[in-house]
Amino acid sequence: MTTIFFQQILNGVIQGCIYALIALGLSLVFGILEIANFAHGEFYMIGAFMALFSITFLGVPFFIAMIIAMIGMAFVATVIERVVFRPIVGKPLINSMLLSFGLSTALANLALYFFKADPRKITSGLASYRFSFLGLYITGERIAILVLSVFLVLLLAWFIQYTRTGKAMRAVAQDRTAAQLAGINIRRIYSVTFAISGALAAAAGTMVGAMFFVNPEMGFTVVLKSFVIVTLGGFGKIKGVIFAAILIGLVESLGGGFISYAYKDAYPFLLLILLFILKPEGLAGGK
Amino acid sequence: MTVKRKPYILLCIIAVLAALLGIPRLFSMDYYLHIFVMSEIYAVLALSLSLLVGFTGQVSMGHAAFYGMGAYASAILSLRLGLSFWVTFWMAGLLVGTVAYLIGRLVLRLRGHVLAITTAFFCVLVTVVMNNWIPVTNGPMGITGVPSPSPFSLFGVHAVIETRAQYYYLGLLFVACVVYFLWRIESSRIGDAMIAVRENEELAKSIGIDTMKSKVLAFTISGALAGLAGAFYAHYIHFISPVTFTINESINILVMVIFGGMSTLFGPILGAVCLTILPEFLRMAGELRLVIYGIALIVFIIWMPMGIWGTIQRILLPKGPEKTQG
Amino acid sequence: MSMLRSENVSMYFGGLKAVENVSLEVREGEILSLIGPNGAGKTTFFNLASGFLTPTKGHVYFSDKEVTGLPPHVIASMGLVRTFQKTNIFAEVSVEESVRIGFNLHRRASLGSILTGGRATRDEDGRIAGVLEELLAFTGLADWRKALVKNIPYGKQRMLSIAIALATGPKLLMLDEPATGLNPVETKELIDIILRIRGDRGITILLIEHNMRLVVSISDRMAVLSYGEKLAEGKPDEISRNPAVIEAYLGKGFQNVSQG
Repeated sequence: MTTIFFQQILNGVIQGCIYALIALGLSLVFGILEIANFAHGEFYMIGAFMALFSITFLGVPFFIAMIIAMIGMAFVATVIERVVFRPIVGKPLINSMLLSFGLSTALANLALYFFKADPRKITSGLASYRFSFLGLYITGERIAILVLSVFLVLLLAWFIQYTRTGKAMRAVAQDRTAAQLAGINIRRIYSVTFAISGALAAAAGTMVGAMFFVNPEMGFTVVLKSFVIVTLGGFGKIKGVIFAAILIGLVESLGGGFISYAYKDAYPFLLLILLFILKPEGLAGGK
Repeated sequence: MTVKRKPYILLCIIAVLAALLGIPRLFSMDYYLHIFVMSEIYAVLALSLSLLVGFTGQVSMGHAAFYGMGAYASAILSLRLGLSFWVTFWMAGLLVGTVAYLIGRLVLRLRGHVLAITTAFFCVLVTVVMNNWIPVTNGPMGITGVPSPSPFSLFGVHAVIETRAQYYYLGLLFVACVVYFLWRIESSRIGDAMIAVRENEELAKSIGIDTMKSKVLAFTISGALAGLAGAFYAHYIHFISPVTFTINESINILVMVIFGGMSTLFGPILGAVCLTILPEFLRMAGELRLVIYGIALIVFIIWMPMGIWGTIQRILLPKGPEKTQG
Repeated sequence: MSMLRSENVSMYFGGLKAVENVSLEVREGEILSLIGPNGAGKTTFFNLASGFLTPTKGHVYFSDKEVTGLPPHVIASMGLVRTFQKTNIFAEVSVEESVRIGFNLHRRASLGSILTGGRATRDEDGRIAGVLEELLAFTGLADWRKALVKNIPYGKQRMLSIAIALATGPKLLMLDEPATGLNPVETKELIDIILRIRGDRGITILLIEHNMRLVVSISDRMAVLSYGEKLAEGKPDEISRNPAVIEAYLGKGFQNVSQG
């Protein structure tokens, strides 16, 4: 019994790391542009498809496919930011919500139209390596994913903390006008933020595509969960989001393992509602 | 209003009324009448959503859930308890309104995007229940054989609601009542309080407006009206199933509201009619329909956030002082 | 009679002391100005009195009734209305509509009457329309009535927030830096209006201001806050000679400078 418990913990942590990648991108966009991007799930989905097609048509290995997906999605995200989101920066939040909801619908259904709904799998070639220690099983694939996601999160944290662009991003998140007066090129920061969020989402999509599968509708539930994570962890707060993501991953895994797998997706929301009832003044976070 | 304009406006109103009443004569084909009846249902859905989103500024992605709950409630009550539509219609409204009130109390403390995703989740949850609570809802198979409104006698005249034309007139009455109801609410202190909540909650509180009460009221009324629309739908189509009431339908209605003009009374009607008729021309688009909807939403938010009617109204509003300043 | 009374009110945000042990009284019918250097806790005090914050310690009384911890809209309905330091407006409605929203507290027609458009509603709306006219004229906004609030000049927006506050029929009006960003002409108009609000309408006024000319010319009494604590309370000339006050504003070494 305890082995199952720790197995689920392990799975939950890995799941949580992947969620962290997605949620961090969302959190950055919200913190810096003050935009709620419901289409973030589609960045994740498109990234997964980019990786899938890289492997299928270009024959590249898993890691290269992920990098291609990350770069590709970063580019697409930048274009989307410029064309769709830039016009509404500074407008009330409801505008970005509705707009991104429309974008999400358009992209998801476009993908559905072209790629059809059948799930496909990304082969990483690593799934066949199985390890076991202390009675727990893990595949080479999951180890790679765990390592990669932790690496990416640390890379992001380093980038935000120590590079000039990262500091500029933090400045814009704190006070847009002051940042501009300090000479920061706001438009470039917006593009960089979206690019990063796209790249991270694509990486997460690739990982999930390998662990589970890829299909055009995978973005929807994920984006809802990501908003839950960002709400719990605090908009624009990196550490909080990482912790919240791991928490949600654990809740999902343990709930799915011990309560019911069918309602796996519902647990994060139940957690949110539970926390909300217990602490009605609001949850941690806010700008 | 100058004396010259009054009779002109009256004439317009009479012309519109005549046109509305004459539609079944002009478009006698079942297919066209069906579209008109659906426009009426969507008009009520769009109007009720606009009270919440456009007037009170609260984003809800859960409207289809209330629509669906009303449909199921009325269908189940009439089939299981043998009650007539004329009773179950109101019962459905009351039931859905109560649910909306309870959900509203819980959920409306949330703001902005958190509220949006919570209501989106609520919508998905309701769909899941519709699909899985087989003993009550019959799951994905849906409920068939929902009866028409029973015949009634009014002023000694025996009337039935059987043909599409008859549904059309009933629907017209429905829309007219909803429009009147919302018009009275929106031009009263209740409406003023909702506008205040939308524009600036902090300021609203500082002048004595109970913002939570306004939000819950808007949520309840909009939910109840959606429930009534659902009941009407169920007894019109005689068949309901979960696929009609998904979150895509919530988006559908939202686009109608945005397109027409969120914070006006006429805007949602315009949006509902246009976007019910238009897709019929987009038949061939098939699966791309939702893509077009998504793009339409994007385009409208960027270029015409006030919607067609709202933008027209805004153009007519003066910007500066009316007399010269001293 | 005491209109507003705070007893040992303190506000701590975590370890940060915003307001400490402030006991203050605003008497009915007077104009009291709350002054002090930036960050002294004046706006925090306003927030505490009007219910936007709940004090960590202490009590607030309005008309001798305890209001500590009550929500803002309840306190406002009791007659305590405040304006804001930043310009808080209903942006997308007209000036006229904005002020009419202020009358919300006074519209008590029942739902039934609203729906039927009955006598009660029509009478009420008619009465309010009359008072609305008068308020617009009083605050000099009559020419701008149909314009969208977001399009009117800044000075008019500031005056509008006062008009909206007046529409609620307050007993105590708390104005948070009403003269910010106003030119000398507009400031003079503001002074006139504040005096008339007290004189003609009998409304008590609590004012936060940095503009010393304004403060000294209209205040009956003043209270000084610095670093969250009350330094002094009294008539303007007493305050201007108070060494602690002078030190708070100008630092040590300026004790002998007299106020203008």
